[in-house]
Amino acid sequence: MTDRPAAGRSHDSFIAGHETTALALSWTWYLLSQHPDVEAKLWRRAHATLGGRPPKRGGSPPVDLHGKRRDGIAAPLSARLRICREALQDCEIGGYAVPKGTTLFMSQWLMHRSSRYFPDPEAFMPDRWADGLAKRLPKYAYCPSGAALASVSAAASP
Amino acid sequence: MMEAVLLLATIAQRFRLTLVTGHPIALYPSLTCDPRTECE
Repeated sequence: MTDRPAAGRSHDSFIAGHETTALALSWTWYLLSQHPDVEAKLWRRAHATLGGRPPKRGGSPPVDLHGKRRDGIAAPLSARLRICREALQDCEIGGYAVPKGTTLFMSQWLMHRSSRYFPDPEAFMPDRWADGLAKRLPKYAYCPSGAALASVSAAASP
Repeated sequence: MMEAVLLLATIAQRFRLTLVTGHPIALYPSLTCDPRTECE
């Protein structure tokens, strides 16, 4: 890795790896505070699987917690707009003519709230992720870490 | 985001966070969506 990509990765670590995690957790705690039933479930699962011990990376406990994390992110907080593409040729998308060279943006905010992919999309339902929903979704229906061709470092971790 | 799951699991075992009654929650959309004021 040369200096330039190394500097880029370092930059990602500070921006993508710090602020996004802090915000995701802030919103997740807010949502949990508004949904005591979900919070109680989280508490029970955390205690049942960890028994007061700290979780370990790659251990089994975080698996059931993924739902909390994903829905926290999917609900009110994710990055609004971080996906762009350039049309390499004239084309039509969703009935709109797109001339070559046009820069297109996709809104994660809208995609993550699409009832086509997420029934009752505004509801905080972490269990919606419990049965492998993430694997069934089309590639860009859920992309909280963006969908850059070389995706940000944070997206690389499971 | 693995760190978010680890933090959530660790904190959930020890603390219960509640929102201060009447505290306003509003979005401040920038590159990420921040709370407009601090969450208390």
